[in-house]
Amino acid sequence: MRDVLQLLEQYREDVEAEFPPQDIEDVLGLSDSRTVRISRVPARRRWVAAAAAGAIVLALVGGVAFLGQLIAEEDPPVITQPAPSTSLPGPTTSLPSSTTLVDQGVAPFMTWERVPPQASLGAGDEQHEYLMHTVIEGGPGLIAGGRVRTAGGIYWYDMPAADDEAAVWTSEDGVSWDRIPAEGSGLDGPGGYSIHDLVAGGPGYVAVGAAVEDGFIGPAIWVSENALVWTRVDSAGFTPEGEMSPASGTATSAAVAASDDGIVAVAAEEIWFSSDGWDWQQVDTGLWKDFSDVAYADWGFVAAGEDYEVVRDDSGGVFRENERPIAATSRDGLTWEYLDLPEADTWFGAQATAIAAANEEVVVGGNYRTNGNLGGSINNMPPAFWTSTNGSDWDLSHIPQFSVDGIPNASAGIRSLAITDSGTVAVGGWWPPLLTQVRAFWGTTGWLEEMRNAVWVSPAQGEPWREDPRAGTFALEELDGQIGTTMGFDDIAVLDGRLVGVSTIAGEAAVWIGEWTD
Amino acid sequence: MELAEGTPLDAQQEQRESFTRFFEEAEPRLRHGLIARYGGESGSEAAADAMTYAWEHWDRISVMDNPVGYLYRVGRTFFRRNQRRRVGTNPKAVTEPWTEPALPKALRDLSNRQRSSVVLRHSFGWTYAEIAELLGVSVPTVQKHVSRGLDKLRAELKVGSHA
Repeated sequence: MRDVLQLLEQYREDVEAEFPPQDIEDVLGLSDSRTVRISRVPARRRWVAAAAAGAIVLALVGGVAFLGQLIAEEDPPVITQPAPSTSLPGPTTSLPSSTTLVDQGVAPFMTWERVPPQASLGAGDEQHEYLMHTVIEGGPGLIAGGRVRTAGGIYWYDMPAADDEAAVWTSEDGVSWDRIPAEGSGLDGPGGYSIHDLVAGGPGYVAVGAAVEDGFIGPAIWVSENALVWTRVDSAGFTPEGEMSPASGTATSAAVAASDDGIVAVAAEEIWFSSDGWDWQQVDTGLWKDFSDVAYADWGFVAAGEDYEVVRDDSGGVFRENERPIAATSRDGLTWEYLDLPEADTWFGAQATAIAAANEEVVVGGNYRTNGNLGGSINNMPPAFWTSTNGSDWDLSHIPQFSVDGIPNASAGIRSLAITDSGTVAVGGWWPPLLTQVRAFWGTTGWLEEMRNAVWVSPAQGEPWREDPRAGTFALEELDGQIGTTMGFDDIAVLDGRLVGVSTIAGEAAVWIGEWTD
Repeated sequence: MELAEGTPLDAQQEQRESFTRFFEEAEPRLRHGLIARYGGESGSEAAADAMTYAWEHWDRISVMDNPVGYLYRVGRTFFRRNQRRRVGTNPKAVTEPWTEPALPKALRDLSNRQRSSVVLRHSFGWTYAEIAELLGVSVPTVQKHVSRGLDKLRAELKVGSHA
């Protein structure tokens, strides 16, 4: 009988013979003629991927002059190896009847001002970085969640490091913030933790996020009566083991929503339900849908995300194709119905990344691919919005190309939405073409220069969405003209008619107050 | 790697030499790690892409504490991108020469971590600590994956523990 260890030794010989070591000269030579780009990103953060390498598109829309300027400042935008199916349509000319275009070049709708740096947000702490991921109305006024990590090195957006501390902040007015001490708060533990979303529900508040313990990553859920003392409640019934890489779609909790009758948490392909916040059950959806966000409208829960086809290769690797924006609705949080959100016929795939609800109105934000490059490297991804008042009928709005400050073919990601009496606001980030998007979601704060805050506004239901021309630059101004170290807005909440946006800049939690202009 | 215009030639040469030293040490480890996860062809391809990426971003990667671990993740992402490019082809048609024809399927049936741990330990001779560092898990976790992976392989291949 042959020994399995002998077979495994033979395996090495087989592989080494067929796939010999790489020649360094090939590497050095390749690097002179190829630009490498990466297109996959985690759930909810997926919008930060793709785009870049838009030289061909730029040429089509007359951006040659800008291209020259950008080339002088950034890596050479060399484009090789386009996917066989790549095609580059011009600006969208044919849209479904339900689609409206987004106005551009309009006057600012809002004014935004960053609150002063303060120690509770990380000012003066050179040893740590304060990442504020989410904010809701609650507690003394506002409650924010995120994490505090050791400064420096690489971090993964959806995956805490082993020593990251989950963090909760409170504020009465959005301007002055207090951080709850981790010790004694119930947020600390033997591993690394991060809070990704908050909701008022259960015993008071529910926080969802991720935990890394003993090398394994998985979802984490905490509950609190007062936002000051938290109890972790996900010890049973949750995925015991996830992928270590967020780029592969970790099952870390991404979003949470609550009704009077229960709470729903979504993360990648999984949905959990709890009637009280303490006891959770995983909903057997039977399908692989990647959910990025969830909200509750008067008529039920709505989750938004993307559908895709799963292809498995000979070695067990799993990858996705034919991504489509989807919504899933449920009256009780336990039984879900799926539907494809409408797409323009010129799109090459889309994803829904954020959702908000108020009364019966639901707004979903996302983006779409402008061409069929499957690797996503020759893409710009303008924003798209879907609205519904019943979960069945959806209207679509999008722009054919996206421009900020005269930079054409930028890409946009929508991370959060807020429906207010004065209009609906979408926040997130944008990034110019030709840049290596891997920096946008991997790396130290010093690598995040491509992401810049962005705000889109729909003044009233049914009104066209408009890019706020001021929002695209104020993050840069905050840094005295330096290319910023921001990843764009992470979340937004409404307090007394004002908007409060949260993000991270240069290792500090950054909060902006937005107000409508007359 | 982009060197700024006007960069002295000796500085360019120094960059190449430092990358060469890194390459000689890191390339086998990176390639083995990705082969253990994705198989020979896909793993080698992902490793090549990751090393190219390393050279293009050498100014940043050269100062990392664990560049191989980072490039392992880069390689995993390239693997997915490369698979997406292959639309229109049958991914299962990729063939590799195996002395034991049943081994690829048996390895495929392991979990990703079991497969990586078993192959790195018993095909490429890594220590448990090295595997743990690459996979970002503890040494006991690696030992558990290796043990359970070997048990599954023995059952699947109907082979014994000893020759």
